[in-house]
Amino acid sequence: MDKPQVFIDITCGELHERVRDYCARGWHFANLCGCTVDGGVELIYSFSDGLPVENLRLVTDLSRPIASVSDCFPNAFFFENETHDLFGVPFSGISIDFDGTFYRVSVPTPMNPGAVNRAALEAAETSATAVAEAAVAETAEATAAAPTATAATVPAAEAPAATPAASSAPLEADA
Amino acid sequence: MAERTIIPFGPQHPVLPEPLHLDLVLEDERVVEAIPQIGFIHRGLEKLVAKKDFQQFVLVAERICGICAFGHSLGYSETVEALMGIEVPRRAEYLRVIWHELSRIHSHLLWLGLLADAFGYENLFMQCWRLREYVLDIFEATTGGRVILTACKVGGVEQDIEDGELAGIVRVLDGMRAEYGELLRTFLKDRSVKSRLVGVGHLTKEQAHEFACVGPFGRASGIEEDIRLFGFGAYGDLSNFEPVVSQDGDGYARSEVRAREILQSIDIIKELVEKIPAGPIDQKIKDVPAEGAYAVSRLEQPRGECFYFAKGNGTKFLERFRIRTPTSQNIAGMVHTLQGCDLADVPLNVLTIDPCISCTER
Amino acid sequence: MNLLSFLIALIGFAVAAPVLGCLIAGLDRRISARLQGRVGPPLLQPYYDLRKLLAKDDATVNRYQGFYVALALALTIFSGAVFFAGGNFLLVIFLLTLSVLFFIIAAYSTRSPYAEIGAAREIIQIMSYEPMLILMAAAFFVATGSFDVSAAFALGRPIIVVLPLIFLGLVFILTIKLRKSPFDLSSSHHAHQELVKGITTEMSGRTLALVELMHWYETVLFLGWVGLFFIWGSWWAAALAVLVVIVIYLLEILIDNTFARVKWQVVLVSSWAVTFVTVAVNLFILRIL
Repeated sequence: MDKPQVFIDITCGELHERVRDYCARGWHFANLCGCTVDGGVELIYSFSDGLPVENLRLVTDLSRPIASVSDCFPNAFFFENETHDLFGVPFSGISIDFDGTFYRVSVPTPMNPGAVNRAALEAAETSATAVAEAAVAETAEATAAAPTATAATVPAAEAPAATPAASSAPLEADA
Repeated sequence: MAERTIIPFGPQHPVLPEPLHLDLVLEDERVVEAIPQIGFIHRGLEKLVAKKDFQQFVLVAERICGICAFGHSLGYSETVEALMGIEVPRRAEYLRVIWHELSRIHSHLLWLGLLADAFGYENLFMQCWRLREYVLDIFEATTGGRVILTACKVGGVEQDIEDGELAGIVRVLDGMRAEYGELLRTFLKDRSVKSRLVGVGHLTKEQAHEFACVGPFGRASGIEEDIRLFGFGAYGDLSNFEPVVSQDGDGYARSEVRAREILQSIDIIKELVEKIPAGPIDQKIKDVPAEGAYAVSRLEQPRGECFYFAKGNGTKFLERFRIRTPTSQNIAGMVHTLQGCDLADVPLNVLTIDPCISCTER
Repeated sequence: MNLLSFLIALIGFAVAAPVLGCLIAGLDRRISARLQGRVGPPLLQPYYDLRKLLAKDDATVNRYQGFYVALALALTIFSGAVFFAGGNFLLVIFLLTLSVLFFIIAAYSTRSPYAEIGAAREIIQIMSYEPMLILMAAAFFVATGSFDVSAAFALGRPIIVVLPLIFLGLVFILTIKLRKSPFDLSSSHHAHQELVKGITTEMSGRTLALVELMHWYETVLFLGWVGLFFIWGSWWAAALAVLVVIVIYLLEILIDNTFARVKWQVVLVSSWAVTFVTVAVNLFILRIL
C-alpha cells in the first residue's frame, strides 16, 4: 500500500495561519524536521489526521524568529527547542522555552555548523529571554534568575559553559 | 501554606528505565509542579547519515534504542523504500511484521515488569522478565541477537525463517500464553496492584487529543488510533485488526491496554505464520536516493506512532533522516499528569507513557 | 530482672543475635529468590555484604550521622537485652522507639530530600505500629498481672490462648517493622522505589553496615515477641515457640512476594483499624470470661 507523500512549499509568514487551520480541523502535529541547506535551514512541519499526512516545507535564513506553534499544539515545544539547539533556528513564544539548554550540546548548533547571522541569533535570544524574564521574576526560584542574565549577555560560543548552571531550572514563558 | 521542597528526580534513579530529569516541587508528598529536562543521552546519531551510506545506516538506526531496536530498523527501511520507490517482496514483509510483533511482546513484557517494580512488587517484575526470556530466545534462534537483531535491511530482510522454525515459534508463544494468563490476572485483579494503578494519572479523551497522545498511552484514554489499521506491509493481510482501546484513561487502563496487546500480538503472529507466502526475502538495490527526494513514513511501535522522515541528495548518503518517537509526543501528556499527583505516583506516571528517552534524544 | 541477668542477656544477645539475624536474612533472600524463579545469593551473603560495607571509604555527608546510627544500634541491643533478660516489656518498647527516633534524626541530619521524605515516612510507620505494641503490653498485663516478660514463664498455658487476636494484630504490624511489602514505605532491601533508598539514602560504608546490623538485631527481637506468645512454664515451650517463629517468618516472606507496596495512607488506616479491632475484641472477651 502506498504511503501518502504530500509536500507543500510555503513561506515563513504563511506558517502560523496554516498551522492554525490544521489545528482547527483537528489534525495532529506529527513532526518538525530541520535540514541545513545553502542559505539557511529548511524546516518541514508534518501534520497527520489518520491516514493522510501533509508536510509544509519552508526555508529560513535565521534572520527572523519563527512564530512558535506551541499555542495551537502543546507538544510542539519539544521539537522547537530541539531545532533551536541543533540548528540555531530562533523561535519566539515557545510554551516551555529551555533557551538553549534542552540538549547539552558541547558545540553550538552542531547540525548547522555554519550557523549564519550569529548576531541575529543573539538578538532573537535576547528578545525571547526578555519575555521569559518577566515570567521568571514572578516565581520564587532565585536560581532561575542567574541563568537568565548569563544567557542573554554571554555570546553563543560560551553558552555551553553556562548550560550546567542553567540546566537546573529551565525558563517557562507561561507556567 | 505547607512547606515546599524540591526533589531532583533522575537522571539517575533506580525506578527510572531511562535518564530523565524532573524537578518536582512538593508540598508534603503532593507534587505541585514538575519541570522536565532531557538531553542526558543525546548522541547526535542523526549526524551519522553523512558518514554511513543509506544501506549501512540501518545498523545505526537499530542501535538508537535497545527496546525498540527492530522497530527503528524497520521504520528506517520502509522510509528509504518509500523514498526510492522500492518494492519489498511479500515474504520479507511478513517476516518483518512477525519480528516486529515479537518485539512488541518483549517490549510490553519489559514494561509490565518495570511497572511492577515501580510499585514495589518485585516478584511480579521477575516473573514478567522470565516470560520475556522466551521471546528473547526466539530472537536469538532466528537472528543471532537477543536485543539488536540486525535482521532488517533496505529492500527486505537479512535472513529467512524456515517454516519449521515458524511453527516452533508459534508453539513457544502458545506455551507462554498459559503462563502469561496468570500474570494478566495479577495485573488486572490483584487488590494491592489495583490500589496503586486505578485513578492514577487520569487523562480524559479531550486532553489526550489536545496533547496528541499516541500509542497505548492515547488508546487508554479512548483515542482509537493505530497505524496498523492502515494496512502497511503485511498488516494489510490480517483478517481483522481492532486496536485495543480503553475508556478509563488512568494507569490501570494503560496497563490493561498493553497487557492485552501482548495477546493480540500472539494472535497476529499465528495468523501471519499460517498465511506467509514463499518467495525471495530481499530486493537488490541498484541506485541511490534521488536528489531532492523527500519521504515520510509511520510505524506503530510498541510505544506508539513513530514518524520517520528522510531526504535524499543524489549521493549514496542521505541528506537528512529524522525519527519522531512516540515518547516526544507523550511527554507533554506526562507533564500534565504529574501535576497534583502524590510522590508515590510519580514513577508510575512517568512509566505509563513507556518512556524511551534514548530514542527520543537519539 | 536484676543487674546480673541483664548483663548476661546483654552479652548473649549482643553476640548471638547478629549470627542468628544474618542467617535469617540469608534464608530470606534465598527463599524470596526461589519464589521469584531465581537462584538467589549464597546463604552467608548478608555477612559478605556487611564485611564489604565495613571496608569501604567514609563518604558521609556529615559527622553526626554515624554517631546517631551507632546510638540507635546501641539502644536496639539494650532493648533486646532487657527483653531476653525477662525485663519490663514497656521498657523494651520505649528503648526500641528511642532507637528508631535516633535513626530518623540521622536521616534528617543529612538534609537530603530523599532521606527527609524517607524519615517522614518512617515517622508515619511508627505512628502505625506503636499503638499496637503499647496495647499489646497492656493486654499482657491484663492477662498475666505484670509487665515483666519473665511472667510468661510462670504461666500454666501459653498466652496465645487468652490473647489470640492480639497475636494476629502483632503479626499484622510485624510486616511494617520488618520492612516488607506491602508496608515497606520508608526503606526496603530493594532500592527500586520512588525514594531511591528512602531513609538510608545518604548512608553508606560503615554507617550502612551498622544499619544492617541493627536490622538483624531487630529481626531477632521481633521474632522473640512472636515467640513470647507461645512460652509457658513447660520444657517444650521453647521448641514450640521456635517452630511458630519459623512459620510466621516464612509467612512474612510469602506476603512480601505477593503484594505491591501500598501508599502511606493505607498503611496508617489499616494498622489502626486492625489494632483497635483486635485489642477491643480480645480485651472485651478477656474481661467477660
